[in-house]
Amino acid sequence: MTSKRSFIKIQREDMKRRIWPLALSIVGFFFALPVLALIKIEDHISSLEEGLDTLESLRRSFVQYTLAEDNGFMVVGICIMAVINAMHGMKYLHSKQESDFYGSIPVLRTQKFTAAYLNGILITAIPLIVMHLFAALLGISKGLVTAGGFGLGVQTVVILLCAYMLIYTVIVLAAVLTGHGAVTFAAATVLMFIVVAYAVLVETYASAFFITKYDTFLGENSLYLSPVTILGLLLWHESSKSGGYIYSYSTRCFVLAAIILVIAVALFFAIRAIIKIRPAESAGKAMAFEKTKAVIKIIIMIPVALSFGLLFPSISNSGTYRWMIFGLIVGAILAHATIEIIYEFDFKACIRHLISGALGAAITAVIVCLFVFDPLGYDTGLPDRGSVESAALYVPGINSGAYYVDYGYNDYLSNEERIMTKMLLRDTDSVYMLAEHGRDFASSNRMHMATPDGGYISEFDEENSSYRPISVNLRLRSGREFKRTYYIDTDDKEIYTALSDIYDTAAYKNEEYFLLSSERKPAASDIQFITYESGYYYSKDVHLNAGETKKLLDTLAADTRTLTLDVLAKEAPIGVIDLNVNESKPNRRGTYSMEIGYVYPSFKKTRALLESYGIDDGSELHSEDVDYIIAVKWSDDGEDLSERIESRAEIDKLVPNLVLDRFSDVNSTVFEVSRDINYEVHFKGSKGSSENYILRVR
Amino acid sequence: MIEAVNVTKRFGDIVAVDDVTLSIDEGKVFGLIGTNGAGKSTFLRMLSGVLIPDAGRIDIDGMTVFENPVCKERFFYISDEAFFFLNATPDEMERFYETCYPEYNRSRYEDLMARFELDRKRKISTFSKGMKKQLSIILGLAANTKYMFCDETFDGLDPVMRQGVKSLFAQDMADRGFTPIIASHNLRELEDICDTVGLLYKGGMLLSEDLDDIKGDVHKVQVVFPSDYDPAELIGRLRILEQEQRGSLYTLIARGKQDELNSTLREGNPVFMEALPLSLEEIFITSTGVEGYDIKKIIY
Repeated sequence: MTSKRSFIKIQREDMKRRIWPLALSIVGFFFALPVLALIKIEDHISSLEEGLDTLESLRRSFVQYTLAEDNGFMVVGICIMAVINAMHGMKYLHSKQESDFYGSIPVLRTQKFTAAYLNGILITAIPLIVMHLFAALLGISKGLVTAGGFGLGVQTVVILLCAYMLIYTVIVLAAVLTGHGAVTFAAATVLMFIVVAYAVLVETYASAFFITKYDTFLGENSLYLSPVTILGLLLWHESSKSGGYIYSYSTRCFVLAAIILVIAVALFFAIRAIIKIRPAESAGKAMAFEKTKAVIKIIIMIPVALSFGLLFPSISNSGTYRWMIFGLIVGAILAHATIEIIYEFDFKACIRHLISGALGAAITAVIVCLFVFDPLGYDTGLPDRGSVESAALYVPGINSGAYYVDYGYNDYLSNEERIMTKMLLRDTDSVYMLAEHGRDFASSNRMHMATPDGGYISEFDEENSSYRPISVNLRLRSGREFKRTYYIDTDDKEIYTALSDIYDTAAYKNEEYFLLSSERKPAASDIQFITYESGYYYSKDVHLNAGETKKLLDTLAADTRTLTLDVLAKEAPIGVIDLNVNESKPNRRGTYSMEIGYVYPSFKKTRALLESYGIDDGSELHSEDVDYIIAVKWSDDGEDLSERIESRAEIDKLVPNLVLDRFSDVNSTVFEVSRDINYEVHFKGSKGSSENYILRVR
Repeated sequence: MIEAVNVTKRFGDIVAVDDVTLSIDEGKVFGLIGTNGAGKSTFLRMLSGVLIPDAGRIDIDGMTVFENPVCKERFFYISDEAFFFLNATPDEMERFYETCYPEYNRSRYEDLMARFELDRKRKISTFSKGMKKQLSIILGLAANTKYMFCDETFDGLDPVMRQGVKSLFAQDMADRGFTPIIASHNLRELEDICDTVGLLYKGGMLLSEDLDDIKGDVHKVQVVFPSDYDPAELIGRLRILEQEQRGSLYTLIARGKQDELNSTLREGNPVFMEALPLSLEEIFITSTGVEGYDIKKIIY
């Protein structure tokens, strides 16, 4: 009975017992693919005949929504079939009668398992492939599927089946480790999401308690830790798109799919080994292996308790440690009791195995302490000064708001990401000094700053109003990167000087102001038109030729190079220049609008050039242009306390300290304003309109 | 030959089978007797390779059973709740077993189905409990294996069917050295079928002997001695298992050969002496020396 021929017989016999999942798979994929294809074909032909869309666009739409990633019925169908096939194929392990039956016949357990496992794949794969082909042929017959579209569909099926293998195998693992269908379902859910849950909880606790935490530990990568979420990532994250349509899957996508397949196969062999030692008497019980009970309970207890530890502080709005401790205890007790009840199918079992329950609670407490008291020195540690090779500094309160949009590319980096990744400050002493200062501040204040709900104590901010955040990236000689966000006291002369020294370096400015970067500075010929905006209400589009555009960009860049931290502390921008890129350029898909640079009052050359192009740069506010000012303010009770200021003396006194509200926060690290009152300035004569201003305080 | 050596099986804190050593010869019907929970089913499940013993070993014809298809081809196991595929007919089950057992005899199956008047095309789920047991036995016999392990299989069979099955077993035993191992909680069910009996009690094997040996070794005699004779010394020389006196009538159950027992008693010049038939139940009660509810429950 160990021959190949016998195995095929066993597999065939097993398939005979799997008729209804097979029928469901055939019917399901029939509706999800050929029937959907017919519906789409009808719609698309109608759109084409009415001239509502182009053939190329409809081809893309048909492939994407019928044969590829956005056929939700197909994707969901894969997931549903994974659950059904795993549960149905392995149900023989959960029935005493069937366990006795299959255990006593002259067939190896591993053979029976392998036959059932493989049939679970075939039941999904064959109907999917056949129906997909059927749908593709329907599309081809109507000219909606080209060779490229068909290839994309095939790629989608390959990716789907790889993901299916992992999801299905993980549920099979859950079935083998348990002895009851309902427990299998719960165990599968745990296996699917437990690693992601741990990653999310570590992230959340770190965000709540590590006040210097920069960015996420795993971020979106944590989604690669679940078979279900990885399917979504493969389909929707690892594909190249434009205008909402998929063009291709990335090489990385196929590498990931191959890795998933390898993991699924490795998991299959591991399960096959488990099958050999799996006790048949576990049929009908919650868990197959007695010895795994305590371990599995603790693995589940910890995230449940940690979740409850965050839940109560968030509900209480006070974010106190008292509620966190209460939540941790309640979560640990609930998880322990629930799991023990499930293990024994007996409510009275909730108070059994208290030692392992206590161990789970203790491990949870240790994990919480790692975040709350930071014994490993996440907030309080710094690498040796000598080990730092280069550094990057991101100051959110300098040049904030400027944006560079390039949604057409997958490797889009935000301003912050780019600075932290690419800024290369070789003279690291000043950055290190800032980091030391921030570290010292964090060390002495972390217990006051962090709260279990992830918020900050507002009184703390009021007491430390001169503190501003910065992010540093210390690149070590070992290749490791040390990224932290610190609070620095901008009133401290030493710190201000260090910040000023860094700001003045070309390495800093070239990354902070992308107009100064030869790599990212757009070519003048790509610019369709420029838009100049001043305040909330003044905006003007100007079409310049390439020479004029280049001259403007060069002049603005030259003026930007002259900026110092002292200038930023004294001046607020009076306008901003947007570049609108020609979106029809090859390799540049999507819409472009880049807010490339602020214009400061001291940018004499830029302002003169703008004027020569017919642009009113908004210039500074002059009291003689002001008709009257409305000081808008509200009492704590919501009463309108606004007042109209018409006195010339008052206006003359106020105007020099008013800055455009829109740009008041651009350099908030060094330029401070008061937001207690908003000033609505109404202009005289030709200006004849109003603009919102705000009062600077230093 | 089936050999179990120091076999133990625990389910959590419960010791279901405790250090059982047993050997079952070929060509005989072996009866495994025990109360509910005595460990019969567990022992049979280990014997058929469903369960792994926690300690000890089980060999069938010198081969380990667990995960050994070659060994498993030699027996057919009928559990107390036999499993049939959902909505399956006897023919569908037959085709499955045919793929599993290399010596499967389809004509035997067809012949027995006809003889037992079971509908081969009818869904098994519509069969009565007794019919399902008949079907299991038919499939087992058609599998043509050397051994058959039956867990409570005869309970619920009507006397005619029992007799029919018994004759089938006898025929196969004579033809091919077939060896059925039958577990039951009811001794009376096995008395007329088994050649050898093993008694399981609280997971342990109390005895395992040939019924003929047991019956040949234990005898029941009623005897009346002359009124002036005191038989105490005489009776004391016998290996008495049980003794009862009503007036001058002694009822004795003793171990030993019938002739020796009779000749010893004749030394007292009995005025009346008669050998009485001894039921298997009485033999068990007396020969095990175990008294109390549990052992009686085995029998009654």
